[in-house]
Amino acid sequence: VRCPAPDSIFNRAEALDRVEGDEQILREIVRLFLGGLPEMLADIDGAVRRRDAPAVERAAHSLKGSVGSLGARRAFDAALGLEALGRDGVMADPEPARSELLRETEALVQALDAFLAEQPA
Amino acid sequence: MRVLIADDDPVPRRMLEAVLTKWDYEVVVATDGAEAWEILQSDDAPPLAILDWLMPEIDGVEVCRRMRQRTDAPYVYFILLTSKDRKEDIIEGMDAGADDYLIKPFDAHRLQVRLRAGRRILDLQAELLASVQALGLAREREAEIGARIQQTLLLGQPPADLQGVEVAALTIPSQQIDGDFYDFFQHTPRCLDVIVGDVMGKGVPAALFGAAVKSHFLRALSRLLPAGQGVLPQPEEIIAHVHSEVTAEFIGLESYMTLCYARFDQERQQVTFVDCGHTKTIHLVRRTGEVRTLEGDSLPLGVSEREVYAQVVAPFEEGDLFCFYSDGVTEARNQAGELFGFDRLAAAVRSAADLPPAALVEYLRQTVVDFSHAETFPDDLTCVVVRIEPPGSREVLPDGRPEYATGAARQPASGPPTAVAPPHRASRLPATGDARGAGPDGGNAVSARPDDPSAGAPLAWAAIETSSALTELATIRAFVRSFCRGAAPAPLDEARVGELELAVNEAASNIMRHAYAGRTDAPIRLEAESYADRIAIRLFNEGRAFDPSSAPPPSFDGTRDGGFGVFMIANSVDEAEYFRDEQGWNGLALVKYRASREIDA
Repeated sequence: VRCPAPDSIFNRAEALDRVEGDEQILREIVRLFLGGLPEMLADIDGAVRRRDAPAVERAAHSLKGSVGSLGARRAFDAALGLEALGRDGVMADPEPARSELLRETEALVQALDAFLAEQPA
Repeated sequence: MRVLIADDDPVPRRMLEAVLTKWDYEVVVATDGAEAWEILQSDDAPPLAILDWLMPEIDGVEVCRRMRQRTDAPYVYFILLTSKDRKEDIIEGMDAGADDYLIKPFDAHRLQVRLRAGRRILDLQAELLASVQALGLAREREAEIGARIQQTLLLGQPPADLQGVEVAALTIPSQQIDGDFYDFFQHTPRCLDVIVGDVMGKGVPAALFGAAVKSHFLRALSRLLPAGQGVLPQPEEIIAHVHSEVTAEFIGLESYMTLCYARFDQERQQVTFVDCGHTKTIHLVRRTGEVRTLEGDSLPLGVSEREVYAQVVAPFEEGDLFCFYSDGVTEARNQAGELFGFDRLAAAVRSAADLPPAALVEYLRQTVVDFSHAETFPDDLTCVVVRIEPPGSREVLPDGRPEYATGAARQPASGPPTAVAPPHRASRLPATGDARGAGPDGGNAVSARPDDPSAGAPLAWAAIETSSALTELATIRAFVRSFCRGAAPAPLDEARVGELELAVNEAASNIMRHAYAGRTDAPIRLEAESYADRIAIRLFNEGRAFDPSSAPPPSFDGTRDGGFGVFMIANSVDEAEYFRDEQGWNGLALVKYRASREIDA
């Protein structure tokens, strides 16, 4: 079992770069992301269950934009994989892609929670 | 600088907003394409916009495309955000009018660099716009200066005390000044020089050139006059002098001018002219209606220092008409792109040749305006009309005393004295009293209202009968002028005399041309009556009846002159009524009030 590098789950430096190193703003954005995440995942679940390819593409694209901004490389790749399935209309077996995205998202949430739990500098 | 951010994903949107605020941009946020479009439509739209490519409703590419179709809006610099970095997408975005693109998730450093590039371009754009506006202002100012030069230096006024010739000039300046000019030198009351010129090029340089050439003419005259010991220098000598002075300058400045110098000598009844490559001057021989041209084969001034300018002499007769014009007249175009041309101009001059020169140039102006359906032209329109007065039009009446049979004041208008008719022909025309009784609705043709205190017998009256030959128009005009000037209780003021004369001239010319269809031996009778408040002139003929309501609206294209006469008459007098009397004579009553009338209640 390989253990993914922490940077590929949540690259804090990259995310901080996007807000000129302002940790306080990054915390605010992380909270914003975590607050909206359940709805995004529910959208993806619903679309996958309905085998609605355009909806899968749209929902995965949206999640991809958010996790990409936060420097979450693995979650980004997983979202990209599901988005590609939706775009290509390949809805025969989306489950593995969905499970992988769920897994990566959970790992990201843990990392973000840890970030928020830190004492602000 | 204000920046619009449009992204439907809250996380990247908030990040962009945060970082741009840190870089001191003023951020305006839109959560989708529709909102972005709305913000960009507003008056204070940000000049720079970062648009996410994929958005619900209207995507970023579409916002760009729509914005670029608006030509009235200020320029907005667009940066598209795309997670797809495939080449064809980027090309599509650039084709839609985007200025730049960034791959999502964005790199802060790259974003900063791209924003700087955008600002630089917007700054350049603003500078360019300011320069264009400044240039526009400068050009307007230049046009004003050019117009002032033209009005004050280039366009001379015809001398006021001319004898035996009537002159009128007209210019419609183009928006860019052309340097058309004309001037008049009067040597003796019966010898007049007319110069009409057109400098190549436009704007202040052309106007200044024209002014310089004009001053060279004055200098040439002042040098040549004393040298000739009182003998008037010939036009070709004057041109040769000016040519030697200006041609080297013209060549150096790569300009030239066309010009026509004409001397009207009434003692010799001839025009001596030098044509320096100008438009051919129209010479209408009044007696025959023939159109001749005054033209030479010389080059314009300023083309060759070796050019020799020779004068040509042409005889003229009383009543003849000359029309000088710039090529702006003949080169005016209609909407189909056709040129107005010499033939149309010559036809228009011929058809309106009976008008006084001032009215004729106005008619020519209207004709060109009507032809081209435009009030402004790419070139100046210049036109100078010189008419050799017809015989007996002014000097015939010494001291303004009418030489026609004239009734005493308050003479009952019951019948014309036999002396009214020219001795060689008995009057076959209706008497004054008959005419009065035969007006519309059986009443007075002059249409005084019953309660009008000024109604009643005229204070003075006169009558004249002439033949329907066009040459009689001068006699008719002189009759009207003379009557009005001597009409009890007081002369009519000169401006009104002129208008009434114009209307009568028009009406009589219509009778000759249309009612009598060109017959020259038919009778025309005029009666004039003076009242305290007005002067009335009635014209009678036994030709074809004329129904004014059948007259077409004035056609100024020179192809026909029917409607124009009616239009002209209606505009020159206060009342004009057509009627027919019991003997079948056609009548036209023209009334001119002595003072401006109050508007009828």
